Amino acid sequence: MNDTAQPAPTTELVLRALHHLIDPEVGVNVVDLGMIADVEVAPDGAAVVVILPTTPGCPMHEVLADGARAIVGNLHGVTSVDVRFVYSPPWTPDRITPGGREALNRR
Amino acid sequence: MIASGPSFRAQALLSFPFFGIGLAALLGLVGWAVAQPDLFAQPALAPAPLAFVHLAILGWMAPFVFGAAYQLIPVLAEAPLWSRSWAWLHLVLHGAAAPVLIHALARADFATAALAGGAVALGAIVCIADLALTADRRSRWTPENVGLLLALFWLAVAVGLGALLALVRAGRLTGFDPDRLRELHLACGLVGFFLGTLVSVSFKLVPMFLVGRAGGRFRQWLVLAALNGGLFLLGPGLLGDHRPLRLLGAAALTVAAAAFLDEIVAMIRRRFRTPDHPLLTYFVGVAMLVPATVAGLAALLRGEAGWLPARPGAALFALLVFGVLTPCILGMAGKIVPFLAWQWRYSAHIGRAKVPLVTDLFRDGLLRLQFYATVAASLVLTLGAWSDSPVLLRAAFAGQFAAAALFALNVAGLVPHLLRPRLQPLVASPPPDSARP
Repeated sequence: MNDTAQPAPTTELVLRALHHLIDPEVGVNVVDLGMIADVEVAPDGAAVVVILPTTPGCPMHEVLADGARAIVGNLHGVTSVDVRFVYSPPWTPDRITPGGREALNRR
Repeated sequence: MIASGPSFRAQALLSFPFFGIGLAALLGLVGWAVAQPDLFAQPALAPAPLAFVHLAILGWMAPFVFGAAYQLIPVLAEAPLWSRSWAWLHLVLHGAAAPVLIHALARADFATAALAGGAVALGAIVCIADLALTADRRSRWTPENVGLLLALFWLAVAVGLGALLALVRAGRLTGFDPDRLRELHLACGLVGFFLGTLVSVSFKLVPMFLVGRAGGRFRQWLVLAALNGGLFLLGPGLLGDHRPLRLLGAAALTVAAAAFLDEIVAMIRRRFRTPDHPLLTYFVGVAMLVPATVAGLAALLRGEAGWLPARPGAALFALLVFGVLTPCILGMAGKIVPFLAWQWRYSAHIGRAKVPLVTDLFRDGLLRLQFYATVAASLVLTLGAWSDSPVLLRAAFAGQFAAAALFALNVAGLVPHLLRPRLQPLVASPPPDSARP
């Protein structure tokens, strides 16, 4: 693979990649569910993904965090992935995007 | 931190044997009721009804609720299970002793029943300690946590009353009316533990499954206060046959049922997601609280009127166990069982391969049929329990058998997933343009 053909990792690229991380219980990606509170990518390729859990204590969040590490870690130029949880302000359904709301009731 | 990865998989493994015991017992239980619907017309302390009631409670409902509780209470408490070894010990004690107890009761062999009952009680005590210590780890005084601790308290009381009843029946203790002890034993177990657990987990799980806003805390505390206050009043009211206390207890329990129904309706109104068939099955059970509450009032107030059930006690048991709790447990199980199977088989692959969704693990056609069978069975059960009709009761239990068998078929459908996961390559499709935090 030609490295020069690949764009350097950016916040937007990480977010786009996270659209492929689907919450397996509701069938909607974590970005449209409003679970991604923040994404940062340092110039050296170190990425930080901050997840806002929908329900504190749900074991699925650890699974999603692991999935986020795998998906973002596969992006070209990403050297490390740090996934963190934040609980305040708490997640509410108002964070779900219109596309997410539509997808929730499509199944 | 909640168990995850291999640790979570080990915890999920713990619940599967409990669910297996419960499902096998449910099929046997409703099959028995179809074959012998006149069980409900026999004296409550006769061997066959006694064995039937214990098969319903210790064989079917308790294992399912215990299996789910070992997963849900750590989630609600946001803390790991206190001891997985204790939970395995509980499984061994319950799984080995409960069938012996039920068989001994059916043969009126009370000496064996007392020994087996002791082992079941010991298992329940281990479970209560394990779950209470888990719930207490973070001391989160939310309605769901407090409600679960109170439910465990009523389980302990029910176990104690069961031991007391065994002593009275064996002639080693006098001064208690066995019928009144039995009524209180059932009230503490069915209402205090099973309904208390159901109400408490609903406060958290229903909004979670409906992707809705959090419930009304005042109403949730009201449900818990009325439910538990009502049971405290019923104790002396039943044992002392004190009508005013029974009246107050019945009124409090009616308030609890009404407030809980109101809370469920409010949760449905606040939803962002259409309920699926398992959740609809659960709602059928919740709606059956209405006839169950009326039958309960008739039983508690010893009411006799043409419009009341002919046998209020038997009607209350049938409506509470088969009308309310069975659909509620099977409905929640329709969410929890595939979730655990998914966690066990697919959680390690997320982000690395395309995996099925949790809802893909159960066939929706079977879930839909199970829901329709539950609706039909619940309507016929209400009529049958009210009119004390063996024909209608048999039809209702046949519907429940169909619902349980459909659920069992879905569970059997998990086996191919567990043996050979269905993984596909994670295709990097073009990312959407709407990416923004």
